[in-house]
Amino acid sequence: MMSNSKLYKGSLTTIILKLLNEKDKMYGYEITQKVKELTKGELQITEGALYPALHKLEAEGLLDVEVAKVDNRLRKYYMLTEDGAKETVSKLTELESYIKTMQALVSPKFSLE
Amino acid sequence: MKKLSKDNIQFIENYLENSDVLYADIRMEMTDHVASAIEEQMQTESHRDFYFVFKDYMVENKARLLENNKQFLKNVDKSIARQLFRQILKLTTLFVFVFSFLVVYKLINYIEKDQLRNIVILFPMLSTIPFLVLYGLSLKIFRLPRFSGIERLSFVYLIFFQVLNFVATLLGNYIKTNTNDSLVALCLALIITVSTVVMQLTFTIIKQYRRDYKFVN
Repeated sequence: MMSNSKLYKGSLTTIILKLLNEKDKMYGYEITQKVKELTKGELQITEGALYPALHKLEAEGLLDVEVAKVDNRLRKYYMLTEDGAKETVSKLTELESYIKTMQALVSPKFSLE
Repeated sequence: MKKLSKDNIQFIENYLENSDVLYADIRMEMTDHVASAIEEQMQTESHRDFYFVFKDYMVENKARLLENNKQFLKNVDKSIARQLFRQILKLTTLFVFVFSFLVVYKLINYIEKDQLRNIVILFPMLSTIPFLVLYGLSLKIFRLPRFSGIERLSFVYLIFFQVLNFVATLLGNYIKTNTNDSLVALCLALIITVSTVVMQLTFTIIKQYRRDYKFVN
């Protein structure tokens, strides 16, 4: 991961799950481009970080795969399994809670409570 | 957007294969990633030839790309272990174990002690035959390329074989001096069950690859 890599590293799984939760299926390069687009280039996921994370999620049964022939080559699409969808909700709740806590610590005046 | 030709794709794939990305499943995914990135680059720099764009891309990204290859096998092993565990927990596995125990227990009474010892020692070896037949047939008849999951299966089986062989050797020595039919039947039933589980796992993984990669060949 490029740019603030240490801060973002722990959230890579959540980012992937969140993106797949919003779209039926996505392939690796598409995920990197979507993240780049959403963060206006601030966050760039490298291949070396993305694919191991995707394969780990697949090995854990949180992602299912589908291979299709596209533009003279084979493309591997990832989609959430039932367990993956549940994990997404849990991960997002965890992340939101983390953000709130950090916000309370870093800038208390913007804190909700 | 300009799309890469078959030759261009083949060029990328050959390059990756020569860079030690040996397994077809991971190479296929990397090829698509590199091709997508190059196509996008060529969109913005339409005057540049594929080979120059490819060369620049590789200079910048090769190390990161190959990093992925190193970690891939770890996840493949994890996936196999997960499926193996799931297979062990199945009711059919318990059934195979109980059934083999009962059959072996009954048969032991009709076998001489020395003969039984030879059978026990040879048992793990015999149990590899169905696995090797299934594995060989799958690779040859279905013409599956080098898929990581399938190749790693032989590693899993090698570990199991060593364990089973160890158990059988101990059991063979035990039979020399003692005769406890239940213990002998239990060990043989265990060897049969483990072999069945690995066979079933092999079958499941091959089926899964054939389903997911039906376009390959």
